[in-house]
Amino acid sequence: MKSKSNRFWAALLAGILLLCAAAIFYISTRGPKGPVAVIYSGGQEVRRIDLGAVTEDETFVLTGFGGLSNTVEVSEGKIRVCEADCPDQVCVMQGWLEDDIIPIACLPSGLVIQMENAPDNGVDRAVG
Amino acid sequence: MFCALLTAIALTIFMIEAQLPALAPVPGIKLGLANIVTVYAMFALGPRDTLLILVSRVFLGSLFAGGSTFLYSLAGGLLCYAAMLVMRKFLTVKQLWVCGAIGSIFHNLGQMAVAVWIAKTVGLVMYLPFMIIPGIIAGVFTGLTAQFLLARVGERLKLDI
Repeated sequence: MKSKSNRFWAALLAGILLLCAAAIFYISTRGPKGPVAVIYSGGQEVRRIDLGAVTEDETFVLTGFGGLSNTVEVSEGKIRVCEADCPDQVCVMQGWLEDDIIPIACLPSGLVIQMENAPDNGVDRAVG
Repeated sequence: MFCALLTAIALTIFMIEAQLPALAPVPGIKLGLANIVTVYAMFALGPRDTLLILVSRVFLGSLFAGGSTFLYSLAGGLLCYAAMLVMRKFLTVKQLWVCGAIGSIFHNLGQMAVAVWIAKTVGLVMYLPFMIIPGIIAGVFTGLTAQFLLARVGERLKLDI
């Protein structure tokens, strides 16, 4: 049974959906970020790696909240969480991060890996 | 006790859903089907009983299922509850689908707020549009289910709405 009220709510929800779609579109056009990967644990920066300067693969373990650890793997131009103690495993499922604007996050352990652009302050490479 | 029965139902749905993979790195982000009970209770029993059912389910659910989901579920659930408290003034029993959708938006906002606060990373809000779109769809489904449920069971028990 259509009524003015139903149409109003349907329009409102459709509007919100469109807004989200627009936001997603905008995010995807924000362009690639990189090649510096910044790793945060609980909001504090713990490591900063220039993925462009990586010549050989490296794997290390970070421990965060509640003793939960994430195993981070760094390769040429990309980074990922290959293993984790968290129950969701979302961080692992996200796979490799290369130049995406969306970060890898493991909320249970407080780990966030975010790509950032190289600094243009005259220092060529920041190697963490 | 009708409340106890509803809580058990909500808890069961919640536990089963907890087995499904998450859509985004926010603990507890699932379809939210347990909220069928929340929406139904809000219109069939009223705010006080609904709050009781909600908090019990979140507490027991996090005890049995997830490791860190408690805060996220609680924040999301309470914000969703508050939104529904307001919405019920504007909606009829034929519009529970709207209630479910709006509730899910606020649920996501609550969860994201906790996520940003705990991880101290504002960049996480980029996940919001990805969460809200399936959230609204799931919310419409959830609300609609509660709507059908209320149409059948609400009357037979002669509950005051």
